[in-house]
Amino acid sequence: MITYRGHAALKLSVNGEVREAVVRPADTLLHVLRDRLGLTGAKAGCENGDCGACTVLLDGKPVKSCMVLAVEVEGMEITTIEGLSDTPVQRAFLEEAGFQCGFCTPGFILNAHALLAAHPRPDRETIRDWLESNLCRCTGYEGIENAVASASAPRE
Amino acid sequence: MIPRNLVYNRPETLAEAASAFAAAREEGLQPYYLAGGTEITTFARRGLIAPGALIDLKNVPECRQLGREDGELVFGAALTLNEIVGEGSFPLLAAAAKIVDNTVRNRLTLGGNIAGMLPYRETVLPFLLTAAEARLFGPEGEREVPLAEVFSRRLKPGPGEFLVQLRVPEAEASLPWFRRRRVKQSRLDYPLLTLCVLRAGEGIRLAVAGAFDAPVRSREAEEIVNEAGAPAADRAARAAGAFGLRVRDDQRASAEYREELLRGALEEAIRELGGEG
Repeated sequence: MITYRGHAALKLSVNGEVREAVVRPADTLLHVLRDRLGLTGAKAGCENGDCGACTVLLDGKPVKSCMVLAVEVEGMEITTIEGLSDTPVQRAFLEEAGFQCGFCTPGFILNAHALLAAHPRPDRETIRDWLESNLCRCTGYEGIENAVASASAPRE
Repeated sequence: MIPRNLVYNRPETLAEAASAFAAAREEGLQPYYLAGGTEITTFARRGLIAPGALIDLKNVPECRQLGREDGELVFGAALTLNEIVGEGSFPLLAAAAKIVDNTVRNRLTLGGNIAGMLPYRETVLPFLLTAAEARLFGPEGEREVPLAEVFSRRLKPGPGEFLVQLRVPEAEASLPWFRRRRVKQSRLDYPLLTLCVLRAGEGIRLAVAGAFDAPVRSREAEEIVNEAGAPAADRAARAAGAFGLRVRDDQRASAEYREELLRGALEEAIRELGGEG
């Protein structure tokens, strides 16, 4: 059995690299990513599991990192927005103007990236079902949904 | 952030988990069993709870079991709701597990939903309609009991005990089913009403969450719903008032409104599952 008390030196696999961080067992993954590892793409929004601005991928699945303790994810592959580069979803967000202020964008992009990995050709209902996990306070939902639909369409 | 420090334990066996819980208590730490952690992390951040130790059940194989065994479907308490939605061997449960958003369902677990502090506990409803057995583990070892013995409004394990699995007879899992979930605004809201229904040989079985302060199966309402001859609308209206519990009345919905939602959902269920009238 593994036990952590006080402070723990964790090795976390983030964006394909092993990163070390000294954490309290009570530290959320969100705060460890931002404050210990300098990965500020995941945003602290509501910190209550509602807004999705802190979404990251754990073994390819989207999770809200404000509701996960860093000590829970040892051995799992963590993907943050810094780990994506020029993906079809990112290009589609640019082309379809899928963002306004940008605060929610990393969470939406990671969620959409996972969606397209699980369902390469999702219908609109599946897209809406997945995107319900994230809030955009600028209310730019149409552009976001169009971006995801566009990223899933065959390209010429 | 969660302001208070805590001790984190990751056992790999049932016995290790129970021992870690007992050891934390002996040390004067308030221990909590942890599965998905969606409720524990948010409640701890807001200061509503102050866990001194967490015992993470996700690496205990029995808590992650999903499948068939000896004519029963086995659902480990640390399965995520999305794992249950995706597996689908108990269709009413798969439907009832579609609460909260897709991303949260990747963490929120069956055991966490049923044993948690929020009053809705919607995933217990399908189990209340079957001869489900609860497998628990604690300082005295393991026991398997009818769910009804340890769930009355909320899960009531013994001191230091935790839910390992729920087991359902396969034949009951495939019965015809009906579910209605009514919310105030978005479909991600907490429910004003969730009605789950199974149609068995003897008639309709029904359980409700959201309308009252805890999930409940009502035999009195079932008797009325299963009366032969009376029109469906009449049976639904009488059954809605037969729970004998105070209907929730708050700023999200009045008691009258919730009762009307219940009446309407019961009538739909009777018509859809083949009750006459």
